[in-house]
Amino acid sequence: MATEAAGSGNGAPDDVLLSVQSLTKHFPVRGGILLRTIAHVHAADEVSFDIKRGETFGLVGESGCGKTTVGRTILRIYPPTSGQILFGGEDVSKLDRKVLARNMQIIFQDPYGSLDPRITVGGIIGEGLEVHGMGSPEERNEQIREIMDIVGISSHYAQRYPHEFSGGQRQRIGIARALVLRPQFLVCDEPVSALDVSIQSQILNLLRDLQGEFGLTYLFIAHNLAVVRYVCDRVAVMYLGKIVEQANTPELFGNAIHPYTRALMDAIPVPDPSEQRERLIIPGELPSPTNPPQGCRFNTRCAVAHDVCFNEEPPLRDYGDGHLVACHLADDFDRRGTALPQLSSEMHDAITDSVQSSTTD
Amino acid sequence: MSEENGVPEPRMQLPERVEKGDLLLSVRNLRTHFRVRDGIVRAVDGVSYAIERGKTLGLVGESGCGKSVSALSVMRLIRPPGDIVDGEVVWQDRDLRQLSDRQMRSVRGDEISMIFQEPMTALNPVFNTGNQIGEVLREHRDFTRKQRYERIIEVLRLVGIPQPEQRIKAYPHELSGGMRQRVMIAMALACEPQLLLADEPTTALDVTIQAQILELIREIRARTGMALLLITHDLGVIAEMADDVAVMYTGEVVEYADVKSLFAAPKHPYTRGLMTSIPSLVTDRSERLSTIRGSVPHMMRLPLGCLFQSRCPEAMNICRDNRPQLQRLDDGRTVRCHLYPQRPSGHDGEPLPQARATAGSVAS
Ligand SMILES: Nc1ncnc2c1ncn2[C@@H]1O[C@H](COP(=O)(O)OP(=O)(O)OP(=O)(O)O)[C@@H](O)[C@H]1O
Ligand SMILES: Nc1ncnc2c1ncn2[C@@H]1O[C@H](COP(=O)(O)OP(=O)(O)OP(=O)(O)O)[C@@H](O)[C@H]1O
Ligand code: SF4
Ligand SMILES: [Mg+2]
Ligand SMILES: [Mg+2]
Repeated sequence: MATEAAGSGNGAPDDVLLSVQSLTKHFPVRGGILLRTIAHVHAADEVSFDIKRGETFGLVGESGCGKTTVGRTILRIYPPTSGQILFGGEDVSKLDRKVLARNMQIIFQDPYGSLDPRITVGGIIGEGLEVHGMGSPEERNEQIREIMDIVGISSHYAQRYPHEFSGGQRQRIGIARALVLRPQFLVCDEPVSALDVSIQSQILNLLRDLQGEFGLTYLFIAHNLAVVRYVCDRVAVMYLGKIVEQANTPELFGNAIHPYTRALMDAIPVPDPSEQRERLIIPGELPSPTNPPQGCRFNTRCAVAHDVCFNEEPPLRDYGDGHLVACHLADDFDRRGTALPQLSSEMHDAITDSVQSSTTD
Repeated sequence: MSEENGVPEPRMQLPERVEKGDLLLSVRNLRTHFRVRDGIVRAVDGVSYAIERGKTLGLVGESGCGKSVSALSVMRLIRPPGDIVDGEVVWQDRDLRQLSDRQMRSVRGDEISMIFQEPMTALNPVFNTGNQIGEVLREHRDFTRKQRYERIIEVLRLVGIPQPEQRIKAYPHELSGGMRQRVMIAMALACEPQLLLADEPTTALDVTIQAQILELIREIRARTGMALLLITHDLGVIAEMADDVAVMYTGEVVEYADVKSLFAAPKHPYTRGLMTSIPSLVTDRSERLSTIRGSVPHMMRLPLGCLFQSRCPEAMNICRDNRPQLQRLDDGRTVRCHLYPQRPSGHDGEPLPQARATAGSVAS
């Protein structure tokens, strides 16, 4: 898969549906008696990537790294601090709300909290149609019935209320609500995280079927790497508001370069009791995003950090075929291969003293 | 339930190896029910499991299947409208159900302790870290102030909390999720229990922090020889930590085996479904995921026969009205399913209509 370096600038090629360019989002932190802004949360910093038509692009990382912020800023739920979003080559900030809603929608993480309990399921699904004055009431009802059948909730249930449905069914309702406007692009923000394991695969299959049927393009946000690997064509790994690594899925899962990505993969418990693994456990916790570390943001937890890592922020560079990495030492790692021996043993020692070092405040 | 079908529960509910082991805790036929407005929720309904000295039992199953309630029952922390209506909880030759409240308090937190699923609700928000742990020690140990302080610092260090002399003053809301979980573990370990009940100790945590906490529990287990009941819905965590596994579904144990056999050859259709439906790092990306259709039945509208029948790809006529009993197979494992020891012949063994639609594989 030939991939252009993300953030390569203006002229996005034709097959790019969504282009995120140097997106930065800072949230003010207020304090003191006058509630003045005393600091900023660096939720997303200079984030750039392109998503091609029909593709599923994954955004992974731990809690608070900025995944939801990126997704919501794309949809203009939050205004960006700086940077640009192009949809089909057009600046999203210049698009009409209605046009935006017809083209881009979101599925929320929490199937319990995201549906208004006082409105019938039909009402919830049809709300977007109504707000944007699309179709006559009969036409709208027809569209609601149709989309309910597509996502696998019998349209007989249109007059029922959300609490009468299970978590998986509620997530289907959330998907129907997003799809009824027939968008081209969908942000799926942790669409299965809150669901029982036996239900997750039902929803993942549904999302895959819908993508085939409607030619949808997805931004798929998740913290579960196994799910991301299964669903996504390309994946970006975020840490403290920055993309630290990005590649197509087989490349990322076969040849991860960034020490954080490797640690993240190692941390996943493997459902195979016969496998004995040498695991890298990274010490410490996520530093505060109001005051990210100088230099590389991962330096407080990285076992191979050198002096340069504390002084200079590593740029996101292309190591071939669109495999982007932001690490000063990326060149030193044997990327076509296997574990880094020195990383492994050092990390192992590190865990014991580990937690002595950095923590969130 | 047994009364309804007139079939007595078999006595051999534990895998053979476990039954013969050096048992620290043995839960037998435990029933914990909640009497709610429109009926009875049989949250735990005839559950048996046992933990050998120094071993780890994993309790796995989906939301609402009764994992937490079973552990809370062991600790006798069930509050109305819930009640333990039947069964025994044998702890080193004593039935905990028969102890007075005072005797139970001396077991709880000392011999057996628990890490609760919700760290925020388990930690008292108005107590600082030192007081939370100090409270446990005051209850169970005749320590001087100084001894107590030293022990608190010691356990905080044990669970990897940096600068314990300062953290001892921190309130729960001032700690990150990972640090809070470490404080919970420190509290549970303060009196060096022989058994730790850990209810989803890492579920709310990020994977890198989860890896740290699991490593910590492993390390403490190795150092102290403590036994562990590990509750989780994550089969990966089970595979890495447990010696034996009990799989629960709607208040019952449906399969119970040692971890290697279970993962090598899951027997119950539910366990099989769980194992194949979750994407792993080796799942074929081009294939559709296999699924378990439908969802967990409502606890108040359970069917007469097998509780898994509406979702089961193997369901047969016999499954509709006959609740399967837990049975021990030749290899010593136990399973609750009519497919064993072999699929019934004749009318009983014919697939139910919904099973025909999904024609699954036949059990071995
Ligand atoms: N509306 C807001 N106001 C202030 N800070 C915010 C707001 N939304 C997010 N943040 C902060 O921005 C950072 C990134 O949050 P975000 O929700 O994007 O993370 P995430 O990667 O989606 O995490 P999770 O996996 O927990 O959903 C966090 O530190 C968060 O506290
Ligand atoms: N106080 C209560 N009143 C009524 N029902 C209750 C109460 N507490 C628990 N239950 C019911 O008991 C059943 C078992 O609950 P339990 O908390 O043990 O599930 P669990 O397996 O721990 O699930 P999870 O994975 O979500 O933690 C559930 O159906 C629950 O609704
Ligand atoms: S085969 Fe029958 S008894 Fe076994 S799990 Fe399926 S429905 Fe239950
Ligand atoms: Mg989020
Ligand atoms: Mg629970």
